[in-house]
Amino acid sequence: MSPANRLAPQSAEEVAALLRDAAAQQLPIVARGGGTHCAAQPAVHARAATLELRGLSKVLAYDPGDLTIAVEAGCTLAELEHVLAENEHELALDAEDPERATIGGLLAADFPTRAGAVGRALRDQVLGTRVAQVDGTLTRSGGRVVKNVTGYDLEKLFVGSRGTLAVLVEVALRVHPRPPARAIVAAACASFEEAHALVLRWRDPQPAQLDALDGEAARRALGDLPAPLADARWLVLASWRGTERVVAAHAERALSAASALGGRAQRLEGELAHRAHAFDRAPRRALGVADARDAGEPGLVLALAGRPSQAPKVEQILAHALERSGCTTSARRYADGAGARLRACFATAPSRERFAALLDALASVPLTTAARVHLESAPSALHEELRAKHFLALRPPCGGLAAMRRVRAAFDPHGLLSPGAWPELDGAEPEREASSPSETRA
Amino acid sequence: MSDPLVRALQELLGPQRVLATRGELLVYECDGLTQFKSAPRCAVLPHSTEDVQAILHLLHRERTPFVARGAGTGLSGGAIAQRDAVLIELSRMKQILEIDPVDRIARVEVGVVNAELSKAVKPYGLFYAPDPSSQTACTLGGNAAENSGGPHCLKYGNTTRHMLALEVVLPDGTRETLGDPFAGSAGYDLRGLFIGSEGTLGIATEITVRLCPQPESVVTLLAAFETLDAACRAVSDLIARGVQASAIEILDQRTIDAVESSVFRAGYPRNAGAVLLVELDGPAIETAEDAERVEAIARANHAILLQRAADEEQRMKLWKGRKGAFGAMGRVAPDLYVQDAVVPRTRLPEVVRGIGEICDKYRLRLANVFHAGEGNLHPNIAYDGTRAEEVERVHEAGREIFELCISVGGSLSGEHGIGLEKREFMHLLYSPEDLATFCRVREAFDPLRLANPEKVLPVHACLELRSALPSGERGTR
Amino acid sequence: MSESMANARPATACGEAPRPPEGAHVATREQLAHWTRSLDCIHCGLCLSSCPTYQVTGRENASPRGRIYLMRAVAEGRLEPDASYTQALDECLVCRNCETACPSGVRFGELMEFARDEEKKRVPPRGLAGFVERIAFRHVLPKRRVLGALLGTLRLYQRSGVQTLVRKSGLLRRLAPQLAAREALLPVIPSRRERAPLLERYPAHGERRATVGFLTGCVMHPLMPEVHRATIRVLNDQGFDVVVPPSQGCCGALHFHFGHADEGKELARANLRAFLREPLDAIVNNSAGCGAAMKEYPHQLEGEEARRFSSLVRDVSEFLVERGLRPIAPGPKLRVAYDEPCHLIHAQKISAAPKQLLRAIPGVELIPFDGQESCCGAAGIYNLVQPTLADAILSPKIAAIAKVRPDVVVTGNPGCLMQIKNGLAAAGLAIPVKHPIELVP
Repeated sequence: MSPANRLAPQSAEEVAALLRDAAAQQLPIVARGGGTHCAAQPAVHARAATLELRGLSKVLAYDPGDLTIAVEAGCTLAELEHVLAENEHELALDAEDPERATIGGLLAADFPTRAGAVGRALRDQVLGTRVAQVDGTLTRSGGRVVKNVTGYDLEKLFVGSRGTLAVLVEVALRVHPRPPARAIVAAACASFEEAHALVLRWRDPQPAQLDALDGEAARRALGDLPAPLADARWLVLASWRGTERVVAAHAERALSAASALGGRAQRLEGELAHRAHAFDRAPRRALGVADARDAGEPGLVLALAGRPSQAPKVEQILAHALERSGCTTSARRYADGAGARLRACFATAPSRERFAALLDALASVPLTTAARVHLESAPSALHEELRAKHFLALRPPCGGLAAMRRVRAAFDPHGLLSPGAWPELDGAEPEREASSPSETRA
Repeated sequence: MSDPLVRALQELLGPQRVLATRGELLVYECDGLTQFKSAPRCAVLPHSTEDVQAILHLLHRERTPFVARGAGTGLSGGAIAQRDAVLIELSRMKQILEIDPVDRIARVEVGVVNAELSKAVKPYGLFYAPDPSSQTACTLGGNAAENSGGPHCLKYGNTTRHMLALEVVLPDGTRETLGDPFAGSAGYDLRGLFIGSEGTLGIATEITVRLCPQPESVVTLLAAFETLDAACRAVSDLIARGVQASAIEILDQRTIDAVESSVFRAGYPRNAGAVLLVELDGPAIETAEDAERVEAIARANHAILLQRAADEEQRMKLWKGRKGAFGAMGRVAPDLYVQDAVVPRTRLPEVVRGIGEICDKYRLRLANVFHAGEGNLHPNIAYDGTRAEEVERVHEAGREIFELCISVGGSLSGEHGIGLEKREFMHLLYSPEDLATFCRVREAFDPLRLANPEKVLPVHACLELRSALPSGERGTR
Repeated sequence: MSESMANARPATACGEAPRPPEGAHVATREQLAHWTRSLDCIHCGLCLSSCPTYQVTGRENASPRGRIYLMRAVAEGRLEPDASYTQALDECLVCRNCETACPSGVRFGELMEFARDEEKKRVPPRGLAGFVERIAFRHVLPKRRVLGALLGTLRLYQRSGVQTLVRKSGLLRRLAPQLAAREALLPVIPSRRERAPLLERYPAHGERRATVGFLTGCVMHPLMPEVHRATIRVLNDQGFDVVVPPSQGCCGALHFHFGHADEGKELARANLRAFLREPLDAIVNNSAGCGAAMKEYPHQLEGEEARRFSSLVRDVSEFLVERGLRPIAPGPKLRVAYDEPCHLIHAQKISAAPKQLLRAIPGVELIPFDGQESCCGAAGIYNLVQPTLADAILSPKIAAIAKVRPDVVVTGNPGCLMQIKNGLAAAGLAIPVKHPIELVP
């Protein structure tokens, strides 16, 4: 990509003007934040202009008493966390690399967050947005107040749109008080079924973290495990936050629940607690999965998302597929979201052939549980393989595809914004009877 | 009955399920908001998604607008049939199709009454969180359309956080599933767009909702203050100090008066300038700790009375007054005008004071009862609808209140929706370009604008948009 | 077509009485009072889910809010009453569930009774339903002898084998299905001996605590004499003298509900005369519908006597619990499902007392069931005039009872008792239905 195509606007108005100019020349435009999830995007069109949004990094309004903050989209998560820390506040957003990840990028990618796995979905954190549209207009929806049903909830559309509708320039977010203390407990289980049963017990009261890791993953993340946990085939990790008294009580209760189920559990302290917390902040890094920014290709994280009640079945399917494709020894597995999302993590990505074999093995078992395959980290070649095998995120039973295309056309009629980010939504609008203005005036 | 459309609908559904006489239709001329009235061309009662599809196919072919209706408890006129629309009454679609206590979801038809769902899942230790004051009557379909709130949405969030997937019929009769409870991100969140679109994008027929575990303990506290101002300051403090209450509500003196003279007598102190209700839920050890913090903050703001509901019965009684406040005021007051603006919680004291001043200026009687914890105001203005001059004053005051709320960074509606009532105020908050974007999104679903016409968006926004733009720029093709 | 904010609720902020709009049909004082009361409804819709007919039909005009809206539209001259208006009024059970749900305290029962009365005056009912009604209200219910003769004939019909023949042949079902549906509701008529009149006075057993009057009502004594006997027995056992004034008559409840207010008032006056002749500590009844009507005599009649009378009226369970129960002898072990009659729970707001009475009987275990407090569809003669709706309203209740399988179902209103009995029989369930007082040993 030639540097001439990299544009670095410093304000919302500049973003809008650049969009208008690029659109006038029918140039494809890709907005870019910290670049932490670029691997998920296909190769950028050769002619495309890249909008680097890091220049838009102002905090516009922080109202600590109202627990809201409005920021420009290029602000990084770390910058924002720094501002909020003054008031013991935090966001329910997270990223493995907060120094690079921008708020706009996080929202546009709608990457599964740790907070989201324990009931604080990313999309519910957004109170309002300001976007630059492809025709150069700047528009708002929502606002800065914590409850709002005025007009359409376009914020929901922009979250996860991967930049295909408009470019996020400002975002208003909920802010949360940061609890003073945390308690982490771990339990050793002999099987995934056992671990899953414990996960279902520990989900009340709502933990701040709830994971099941296979033995290898647990040892990689936590180091040598103490005696009662040492031989764990699966390890369940949970943490609660609150005042010292409250979290101590929750931990106590969790331990007795675990022993009632016949598990060996203990509260983690010191270095172990520290490492468990590090896993919570950045599970991929804790498992040694190569990062995109490191030299070379990123590692592979393949996730199967489905109903928690079906997690044991999904785990069997995954284990079977890993075995058939010869990936068992290199893959570490962990699940969060009460078992709703089970992952296979590879420190370095397997070859395209082996990955293809893994997909074939997954495809040969009917995913009766309607679990969906996602790549949370992968070299672009593997993304291509996924597409080639028709593991498209938007394959049926995903509904509303036609309506999505029309929504896209309503914002970006010529498909100039981030083409290929949702390839299924690129291209002409599907068959639908078009209405002439005279009819709509009826 | 000579209306050919009525005959066609009768052929489709059978004569019993098409209402067409004036007596049958008059009752549909308004919903929970009585200021606006318009009777539908006819009303139909579908029993299934397939019925809804067949109806919308027919109406699309005939280019006839329609409006869906649940229980008709809405407070912004969203279910009123403008432009001679056909009214689609969804009350018959009230099956609970599936309850999954492990995945904590339920799948329901849209006519299921909000409180009935919580009742049905209670044996599993679960409940459905959004609790609009009309929850004993309002339907989940109506809740989806309005993105309804309720006192406990402070902790649990509005409807959109609790509806995970929708089965919808679009205005051309096609059927789509929007969203998936667990499958993860897949394209645009059309589910999130659809919720709160007030029936202007199509009709939801089935909903998959999230169920929450019943809290281990619930503590309800009442704090009375000499002035409304003091109560508002206490709320600002509660939020700023990070007290995570499940509900924070304020009733002012006029409201206390009305409630205490009604069947909903809750024992609120009549000498107080305002009463603050705070509810905490969660593990007992947490609520006990938080209750002490709430009491300390109330005392620091000079509370003149502090009560903690000792048992479920007392708790229900404290809430009874709050939930019945609207009805109680309706009875003693003549017509009521209720607003629904939201302001930052740090601005509550000054805004509430400002609203009082506006009403004084226009010589209007004001009562306040609101979701203070979210800054969601409900100023109730009493007036006499037969007096044109008084109606005019209410209208002027209403506009000034909106302007005040927006000037401090607020919004028009927190839970009632825009409907017919507030659409003329939309331009106070949004620019013509913002509104034009809404119009385009709407037309992506409903190019003929058949779904709930004349709601949400200002009357001429879309037409003006069309004439202002060069042709071909905004093609839907 | 849309009207603006004008013409919503014509009352004034400064407390002047509201005035009906131009062109309203509000001529008499009663009409004005009725119209004014209809303004209490703020159209919030909280009543909808509580209304049995709305639940079944999903139609707004079969809901309390819709009915009030129509009454008001007719009074204000916005709606010419038509067949659908009459139907909207006729379909109402007057169960008054909505009064419990209403946040504005609308007195729906009164509104409906007045509207029906007006409507009956305007268009006297025709057809089978009208015929049944006219005969029943004018000639049967008020006259004990006529009622006795009619029941004698019905007993003959049942005992002679004609009923069996009619039912087996299916003739009636083919010729007049509606009549057949009603025929099926016929209870078994007790013999003349069982129906023999009660004595005028039954003395208390043991120490006398008070003297109460007892209302026998119209159909209850001839149809369910055992309930009356049990009531008197329990009252005596609990230390109360029971007086049964012979000149008393039907309470008039059905007349008020079904738009025959004039006849109803006649009956009410007769009861005032019969019961206020001697000093009584209470006027006890065992029929929720009668109790509700008698407590509301002051809504129908003016004057001190009606108020004094109504202040004495008590449901038997209410009375016993209020006075404190003497210990009750143990009875057999029974799993009991208590059905809450609308006119007890909603009209009289009595829900705890009957359950307390039942719990006080050693051996009784109360079994809760879904929709315990919802209407059964009996509603006086509703099941006769609206059989289809009545069945639809009843069936979820029968299904819920079938699910919990009690030894006995109890309910404190004769109409509900018969309705549930019929429903259970039709569903092939051999579960007896009784009045709660009958369980007291």
